[in-house]
Amino acid sequence: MTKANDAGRRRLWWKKSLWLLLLFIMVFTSGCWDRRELENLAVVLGMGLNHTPGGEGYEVSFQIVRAAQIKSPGVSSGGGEKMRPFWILRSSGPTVFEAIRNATFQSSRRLFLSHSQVLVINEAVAREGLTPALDFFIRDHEPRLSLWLLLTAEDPVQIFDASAGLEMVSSQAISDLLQQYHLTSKIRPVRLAEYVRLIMAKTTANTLPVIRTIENAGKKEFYFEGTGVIKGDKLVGFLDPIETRGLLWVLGEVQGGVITFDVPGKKGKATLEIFTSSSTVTVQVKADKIHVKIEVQVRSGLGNQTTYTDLSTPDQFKKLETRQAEVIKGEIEAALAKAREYGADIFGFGQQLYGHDNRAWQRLAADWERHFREATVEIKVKAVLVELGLTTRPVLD
Amino acid sequence: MDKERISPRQLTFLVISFTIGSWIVLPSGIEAWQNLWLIMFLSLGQGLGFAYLALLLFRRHPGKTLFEIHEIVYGPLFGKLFSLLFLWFFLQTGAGALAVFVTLLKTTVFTTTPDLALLIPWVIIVVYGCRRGIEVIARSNEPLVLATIGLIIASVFLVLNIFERENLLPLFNLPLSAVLWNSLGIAVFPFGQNVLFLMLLPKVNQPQKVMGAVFRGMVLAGLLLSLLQFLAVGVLGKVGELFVFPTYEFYRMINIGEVLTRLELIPLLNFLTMGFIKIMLCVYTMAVGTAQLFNLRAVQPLFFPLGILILLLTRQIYPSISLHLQYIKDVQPYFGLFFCLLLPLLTLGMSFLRGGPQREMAS
Repeated sequence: MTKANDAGRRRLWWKKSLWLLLLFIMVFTSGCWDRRELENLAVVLGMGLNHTPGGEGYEVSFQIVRAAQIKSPGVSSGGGEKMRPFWILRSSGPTVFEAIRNATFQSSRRLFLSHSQVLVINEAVAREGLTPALDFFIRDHEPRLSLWLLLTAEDPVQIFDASAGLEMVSSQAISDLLQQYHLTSKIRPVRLAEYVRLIMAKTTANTLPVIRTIENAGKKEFYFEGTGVIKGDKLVGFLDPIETRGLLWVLGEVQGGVITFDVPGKKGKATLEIFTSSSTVTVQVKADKIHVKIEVQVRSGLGNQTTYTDLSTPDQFKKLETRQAEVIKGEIEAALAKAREYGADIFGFGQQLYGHDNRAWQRLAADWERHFREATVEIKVKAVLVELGLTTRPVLD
Repeated sequence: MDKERISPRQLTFLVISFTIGSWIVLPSGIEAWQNLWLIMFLSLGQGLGFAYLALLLFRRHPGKTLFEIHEIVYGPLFGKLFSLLFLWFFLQTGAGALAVFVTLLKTTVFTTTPDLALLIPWVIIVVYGCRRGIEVIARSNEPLVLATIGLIIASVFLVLNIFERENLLPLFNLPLSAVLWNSLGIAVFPFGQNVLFLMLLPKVNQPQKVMGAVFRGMVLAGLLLSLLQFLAVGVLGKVGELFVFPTYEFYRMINIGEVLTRLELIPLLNFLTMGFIKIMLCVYTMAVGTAQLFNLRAVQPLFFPLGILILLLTRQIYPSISLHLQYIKDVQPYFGLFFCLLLPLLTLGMSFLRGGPQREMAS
């Protein structure tokens, strides 16, 4: 009796062990179906979009990191030629996706797009319409919506080829640089996600920062200047850096930067540092006429002066505040004038109306360009000066 | 086999996971995207109405499954015919959920893996779960639902930095017809699909608590889905309606200080468990139904062939995601209304007309 029981138990134990063994084998010998090992991947940091020289299809350029070169910078002893830490590749095809796949004709490793940070778009492509060019980047699962979008008049390869300054790879440098836009607030960095959000708002026009190369001591370097205005999905014109900041004031995106103007009644200039700003935009519709009220509030401090007068008195502060408000108002008006000229609602007045008075928006959206141009805009700027820095008056007055 | 019992609390949890099931990754009523979280309440009301009718039917025939009720009300021949229709409904519901999850996995993580390599393990686990019985499914479902609730509540805090109030506006910009149509779409899927539980109610050990349990589950699931939708709109804005899998996209957007990013796989895994429970319930119910339809004594041998059936038919019923999307938008409201409202209503009406001794047994 007990013996039979024992045998049964032993058989059960065997059975259990066998299952456990099978489980172990399953866990430790299985792999992913479509695994991709790091050494078989070409990690792309930046991509560029251009038309093919013939005109029909797209030419996509890639900046691919050479990971080995990044790991050991400066180890070029032994006479070996030091390679740049990246490789620039061009590839073309009738659509963006095909162009990207065609890159495998040249690249021994498959391109991996998930880590790409910037997408530099040639202006000619942007003039023709961005929707067909950007569809792949939105649809495919590999590129991320956090991609920074940029415009350039040159071949995007030129941008990647330019010196990256203190960084190893220029795409990385561009991405870092865009994230400190608030030091001047004269660039408006735009991620792919933001672009898609605005374009789906229908009436709102997009803006993208413009990048170009400059010559510096025989070396090429990249440089940001101004903003492209994208109406619908087509590039229609540009804003200069001051107008760009005018736009940022309205959007409430000025989070720093400096502002310089002549000191009222004195000879010389004062430069103020902007600490924070906020804005409120209200859009009202009366009898199909649009009335926009923009209120901007700014806090700033005195950062630099070239006059010999003491600007630290409350009386002078008052004057500086008034003057600063006027200058900011001027910047906003400059941006508004350009936007009216292009008929592009870069400020998102339409989006404001869409959210708060949807019926009016539905009535006016079809002819928004005209309504936007004819809108009356009231700008109120309230500037407050709060700091002096470490000194009161200039050393010699 | 028939001695299996689940508690009302477990029933509530099963209703929650069945409702959340596949809707959470592939929502219906997507045209109303920005107002979906509000319309959800309207749909919940309709769904509760459907459920009330179905539960009235159960009250009149306590301890009987839907298929047994059919035979009592319509007689053996027509009863079996109606039951056969419902079998198809369960099959299609299960296949739909399976198709959604396979497509989701294929487009996001396993891009080059063949369908079968995903489907076969999936079906093996479903069959395994079914063979263990409803008690085991119900018990293992509890922690999974708690995890889902925890995840959705946690998402509130994860998206605080990217949530924009402006994205929620405007609150009411749809014509009434669109609101009604989309609310109907959500009322039948996911809420209406709960008609499946009519096959499982006899297994609840306290029949008098069934109605409360089902209602509680549906309301809780509705609130969770509405909350998630509210967050998704606040984060994605109008762009959300562009995506095939908006919830997945929503979790992709989470970014806390460039450190806590790319979290999308965690919710994905979690929703997979909800999908598993939903498909398991469908297969289980089909087996129970088939056994009753053909007066079989055992349910156990049916799970494997039914698993194979669902494996083979999934791609026949839903060949592509674009057809699936169109089906959800244009066909499912009618289809669902037929099974969730019209057929139970008809059965209920016939049951009243026939009268009979069942009335005294209702408490």
